Amino acid sequence: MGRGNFITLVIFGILVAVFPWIVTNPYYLRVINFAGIFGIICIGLSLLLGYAGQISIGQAGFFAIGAYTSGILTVHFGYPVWAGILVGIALNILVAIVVGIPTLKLRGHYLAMATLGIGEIIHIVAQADTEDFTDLIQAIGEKLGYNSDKLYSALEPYSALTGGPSGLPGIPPLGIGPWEVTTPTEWFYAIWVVAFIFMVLSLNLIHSRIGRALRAIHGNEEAARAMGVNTPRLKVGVFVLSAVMASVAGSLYAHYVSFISPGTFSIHESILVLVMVAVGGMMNVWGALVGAVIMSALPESLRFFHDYDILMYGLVLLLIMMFMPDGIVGQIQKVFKFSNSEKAG
Amino acid sequence: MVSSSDILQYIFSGITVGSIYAMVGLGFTMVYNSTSIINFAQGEFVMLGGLMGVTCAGALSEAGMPAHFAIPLAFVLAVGATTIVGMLMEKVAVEPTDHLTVFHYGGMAAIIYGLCRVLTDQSVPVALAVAVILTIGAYLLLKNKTIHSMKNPSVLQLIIITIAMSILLRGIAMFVFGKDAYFMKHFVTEDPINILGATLLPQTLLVVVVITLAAVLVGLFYAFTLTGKAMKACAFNRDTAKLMGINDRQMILLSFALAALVGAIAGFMVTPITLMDYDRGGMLALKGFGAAVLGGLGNGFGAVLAGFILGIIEGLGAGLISSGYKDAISLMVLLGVLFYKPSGLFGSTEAAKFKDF
Repeated sequence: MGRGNFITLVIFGILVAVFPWIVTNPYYLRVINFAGIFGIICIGLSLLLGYAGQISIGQAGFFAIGAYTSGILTVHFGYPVWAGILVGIALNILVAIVVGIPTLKLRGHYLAMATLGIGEIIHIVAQADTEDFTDLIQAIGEKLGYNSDKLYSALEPYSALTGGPSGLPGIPPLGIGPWEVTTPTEWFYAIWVVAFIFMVLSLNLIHSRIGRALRAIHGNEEAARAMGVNTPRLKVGVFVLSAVMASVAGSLYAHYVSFISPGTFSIHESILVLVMVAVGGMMNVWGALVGAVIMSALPESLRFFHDYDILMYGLVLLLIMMFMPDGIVGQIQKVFKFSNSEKAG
Repeated sequence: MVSSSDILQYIFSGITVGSIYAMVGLGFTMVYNSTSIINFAQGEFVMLGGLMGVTCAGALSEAGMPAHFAIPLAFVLAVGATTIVGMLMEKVAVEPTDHLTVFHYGGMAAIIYGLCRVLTDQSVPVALAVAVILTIGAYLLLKNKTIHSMKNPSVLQLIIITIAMSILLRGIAMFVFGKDAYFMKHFVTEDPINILGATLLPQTLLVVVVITLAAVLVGLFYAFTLTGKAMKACAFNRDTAKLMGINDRQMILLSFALAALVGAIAGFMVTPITLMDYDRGGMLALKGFGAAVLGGLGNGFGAVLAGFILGIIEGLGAGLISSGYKDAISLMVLLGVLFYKPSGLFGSTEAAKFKDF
């Protein structure tokens, strides 16, 4: 994977291993844990944005599906935690394929709008009172001639699945069998080990034939196709990968906070993740984690912004895209001219 | 049982929103044609037109101006101000440049002023002084520095910049106007007209008339004026247009101005019916983009037509299926169009595949 990346990976691994020994304050750990969860989403988005050159403004949707699937299956149906995570992943793969295949044939802004739309739809569904939803299905069913009483009793158990605007409480913590993840330190390892694994995966991907093909696509799609790169399949593949990562992050989030509500899964979060990747540097997967940590730590230290965080995100994103489009990691790379720098042109 | 007058009613309500989608779609098309960018801030122009219109009309009425002077004047002010916002946006964030322009310094001063006021609670003159001093300092430091990142911005970069601008404009609007919904009295009589059992608001009729007029005027501008033709030439092939002596930067600036103009007109006209708040822009942009795509991206006339069609579909969906899910319904129509006929009703599939981004 390149010497520079390997060294950085080792340093990162050591950092993850010893961090909770150095920083024991549970508040700081909580901030870093959330940074890690968002960081996982960012790794996926960074691959999509920096290497496949596609914009997705709907990662919060995949995040939501992962979280709600884990939540609903464990709370309402008593599934074990790992099953919830896997079903969430499967569901997200499906959605990503359905959305990705038609739109990735076209130019990037189609995907941007499609992901915006999907994210919004998922947000609306999560927020709507499922009771309204079952009423709706019932109404349609009646119009089509089905027995309304039978429909009602069939749909009744599903009428409170997502909890609507008030959210879904009581999600059990992460765990297998008797062993559960409860303390901030345990959560730190759970989240950041997953992040580490995804980093290893991504770095290996980038330095493989697939990674080079992705960079070729980002450089010039037509030329890449002329060289035999299966462009549509690769783009969909990266998109699905980003969805899977967001799904895992969502499941982790659900088990971490044990109570999820639709407000956490709006376009606000999709934009936040985009800002994180842009700030960190979209041409470099490390940028994803750097951006996530910075954008998570910063608001904590700038508490007085309250409502105006949306304004700050817009301003930060604008300034970064105008004056530092390679992000922080990109700038550092430029300044120090690392020989293994991943400049995709 | 759903009667035909119910359906007519749903169609009428759909026409109102459809007219906004038509204008937003037209705005998207104009900017896209000249720059290949999708301007995500398009919806905010509508929002600004509405909110500024309410504020102006309110201020003028309070100053004693009678309604039939106040409203047209407010219209001119609000639409004009939004157009200026659109042009500033282009100058600051979109136009390629290798050094900081007076617009950048102006923006810098405004940001510093805002931060001083909001964060540290300084009084107006102190904040102004700090802003001016720091900006002059920045100018002295940076005046000979070349900025490479904006010299030749990629389309990806520009699209994210417009996303950032849309968030920024939304945030500023929230700061200035607050989170409440704003309301304007109808410009004409509020007595609904009864047509075949369905009620039609006279304001809706006014909206449709004004917006159709605006669309027609834009079309005539493009087709028959020299500037309009120059813009079309620029959109068709920028380098050749430059060789022909057309100032492409001016044309791009003009396209942003026009996009902001039509958006603001729509926002102002529909606020009496649909109210307006700082957060509307996002959903409007999404649906307006749907209209633009449905009409065939790049086809202005198609975008306007598709906007009305989309609005009617939404109205029917809200009435016949579910009003809580009406946004989800129109979004699914949008996705359906994106998936199966991205060339839209009037565009070409080949053109959908080959452009810069």
